[in-house]
Amino acid sequence: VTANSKVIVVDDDADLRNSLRCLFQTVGLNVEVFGTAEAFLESDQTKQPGCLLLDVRMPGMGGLQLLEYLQTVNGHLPVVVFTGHGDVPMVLQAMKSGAFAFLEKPATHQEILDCVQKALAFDQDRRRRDLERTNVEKLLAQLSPRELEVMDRLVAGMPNKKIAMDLAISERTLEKHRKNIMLKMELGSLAELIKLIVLYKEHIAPPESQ
Amino acid sequence: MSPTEEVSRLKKLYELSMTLSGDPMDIFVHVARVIGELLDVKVVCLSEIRGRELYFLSVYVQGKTFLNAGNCPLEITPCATVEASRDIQIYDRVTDRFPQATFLKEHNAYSYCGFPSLDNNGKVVAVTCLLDDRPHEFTTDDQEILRIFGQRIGLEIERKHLYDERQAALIALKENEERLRLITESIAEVFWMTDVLVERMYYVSPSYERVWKRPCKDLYENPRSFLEAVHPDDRARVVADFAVQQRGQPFDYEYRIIWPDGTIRWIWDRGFPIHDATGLVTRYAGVAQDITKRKQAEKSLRDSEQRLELALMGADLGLWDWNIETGAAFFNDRWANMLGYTLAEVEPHYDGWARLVHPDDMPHVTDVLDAHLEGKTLFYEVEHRLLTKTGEWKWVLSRGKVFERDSHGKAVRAAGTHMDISERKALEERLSQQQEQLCHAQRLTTAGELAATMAHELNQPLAAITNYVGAATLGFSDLLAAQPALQEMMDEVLRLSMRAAEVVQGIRNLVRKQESKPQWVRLHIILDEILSLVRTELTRKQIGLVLKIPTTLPQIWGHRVQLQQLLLNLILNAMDAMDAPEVSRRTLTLRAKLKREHEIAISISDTGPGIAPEIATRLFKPFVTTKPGGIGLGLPICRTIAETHGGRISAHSVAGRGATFDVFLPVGEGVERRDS
Repeated sequence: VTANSKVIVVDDDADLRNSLRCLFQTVGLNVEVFGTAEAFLESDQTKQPGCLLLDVRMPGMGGLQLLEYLQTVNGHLPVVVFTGHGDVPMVLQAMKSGAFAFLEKPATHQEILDCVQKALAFDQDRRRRDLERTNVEKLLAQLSPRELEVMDRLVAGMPNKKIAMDLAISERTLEKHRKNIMLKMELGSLAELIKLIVLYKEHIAPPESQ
Repeated sequence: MSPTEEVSRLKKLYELSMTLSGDPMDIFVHVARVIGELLDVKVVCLSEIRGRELYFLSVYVQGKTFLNAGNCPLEITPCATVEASRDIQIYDRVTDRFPQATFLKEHNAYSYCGFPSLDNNGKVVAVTCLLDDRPHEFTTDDQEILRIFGQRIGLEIERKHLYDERQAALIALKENEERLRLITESIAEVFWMTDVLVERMYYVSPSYERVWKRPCKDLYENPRSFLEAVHPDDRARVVADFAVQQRGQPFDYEYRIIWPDGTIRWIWDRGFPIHDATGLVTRYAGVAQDITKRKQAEKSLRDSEQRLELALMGADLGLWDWNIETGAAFFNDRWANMLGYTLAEVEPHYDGWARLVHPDDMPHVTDVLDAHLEGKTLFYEVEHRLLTKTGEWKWVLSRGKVFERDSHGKAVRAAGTHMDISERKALEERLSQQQEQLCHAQRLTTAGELAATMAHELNQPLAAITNYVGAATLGFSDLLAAQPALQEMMDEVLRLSMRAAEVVQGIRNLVRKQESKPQWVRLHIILDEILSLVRTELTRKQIGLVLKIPTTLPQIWGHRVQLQQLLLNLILNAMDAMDAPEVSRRTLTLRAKLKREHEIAISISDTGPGIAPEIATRLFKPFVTTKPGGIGLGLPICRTIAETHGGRISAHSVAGRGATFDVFLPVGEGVERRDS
């Protein structure tokens, strides 16, 4: 858990949110509490590292609506839905809206802490991956279109001869492109390049379609 | 003059006198004079005997004659002896012998000669006496002449009687004619008399001119000229009726005539055959009468009857008219048809109705009817069931009124209508069933939602307690390790909190078990049901309704009754909000639309004073209320229902402009697919 991660509690019941603040502070977590969804949005922390512990039952905007809104925000913090009545339709609705996990009230402090820790870990992991992805994307951005074509074929395991024929270039030229690619991607070997790109495509890149 | 000459002269005179003719009274005067001059007597008195009285018809006194000179009792006069003997009587010193007969004294009579006149039956009808103040000799010849005169006088008396009778008859006739003339000329009816072929007009009363506006003269000249005034449409019929006339039968018909100014009048013409002694019909007499007024009255009666019939038809009402004394009743077609009978199948009597009334309704109907018949109520109005031909019971609204009472105030006649209210009754029944169902469901739901609401409200502090205990356990683990008793207490607090939470959970599960299964619900249909419950109230409170609920919205997966309760609560709240007297325009607006394809947004708006700012933030908290006697659970329950359906509820308001409650309910994924 990074130092700037934060557990954000949104609950209209002051007693409950204060008790949660107390609990999280006790285990050394950063906590910030809000009484309404609107107040949270106003604080502009939707991309704050950490997690959101959200009561669905609130006047005004309400938890589910906030959840839906967050879906439209790229890289928002994971949401743990805290619900008094875990009715099936609502759980379905919340799942659809991208909730990270559910907690039924009243939950023991251990359940709450476990759930929040998981969310924080998820967030951290995602951020790390995001960072990696950003790095890879930064490197890839330096490649010329031709270099990208060459790289795709290299990663696909195509022999040089074939690549040169495919792209109607000489093997010499191909070799030059290859050198440039390794240089720009800051990698030493073809094996490293393949590993990086495969990992990027499989795990880091945002899903192309849902 | 020789006696022979004398006789011949007398005979001549007699013959001359026989040639006299004319009024019998003139003859009596003449006869008295002739006798007086011929026999040279001072007084000749020609008297008629009527009963026992002597009437002096003509009196000759010394060259003068008098008519009808009075009367006296026959018995005191010498004439009585003439009457009794039926022959000539001659007396001297007659005044002395009949002192009571004053006329003798008046004429200073000394001699008297009286001769009788007899009628056909030999009865003495007159006595003529000759008086003189000196002795007078009457020869046999004289007496013979007097007898002849007596006969003549007798004839004349008879003639006078006939004449008098005829005169009296003539006068009577004249009076009759005058009376008839007065009658025929003064009354409105036209009297007429024609021959059988209507070719000669014997008589038509002057009123013809008033009734036909044509001169009588024309009718006398051409008896059929009255036809010229008859309406062309009726003329052929009237002419055809002449044939009836020729068969010698009475006729009676109505036709229209047209006055010269174009006015159309109705005539009622009746004719009767007049038979002669042989039994042959020779004439027709009749009366024609202007009945336009009566016709108009008939027409307006007919019109109003038609109007009534139309009105009854329009209102689809059955009609009844009851003669209370006899029990006879009139029903119209609709009355019978309403129950599936033809009119002929219904006995036109009170019993015909009474037999059809539902036995359970009869006592009440009778009470209401009696109260009205006794004059305790202004109208008779009652709803009851009647047996239809198919054996079913049909609800009718019967209304009526007594419109005729006798001098003791006893009801004589009543009439009224039947209205088929079976549909209304069925609707009422359905509505009350629905209401009952909703009420029942609402009680269950309310209990359930109350429990759910309370569960949530208890859960919050319980959750807070466990959190604090958890925090304490973690934050003060060293202290707790050093103080095992404290650790034990903390464990107990945690355990009991969880136990309380389990109790709450138990209640909630219990409630959930009683809940109906969720189902697909169409918003406009459940709203229709709700509105049927509040429509009367909306009208009573003069609240306008704006309804914008598309029927094409996807269905909602949920608990029908709960959703109804949610919407009903919000609608009732909105209506209550507009109760405030300062609200001038009262409109309830219900809208629904699909939002982002997976959520239905329903808004319920009022034009009331809006939500007070001091409670706006706590609106959906339990026990917050603005209503006197309210317990403040309506909106929390609404919220619970919305949330258990995966939806939410919110409110916003502008002070003085009204409040709007928005309910968002999710529609299931692939709803339309599943639906179709």
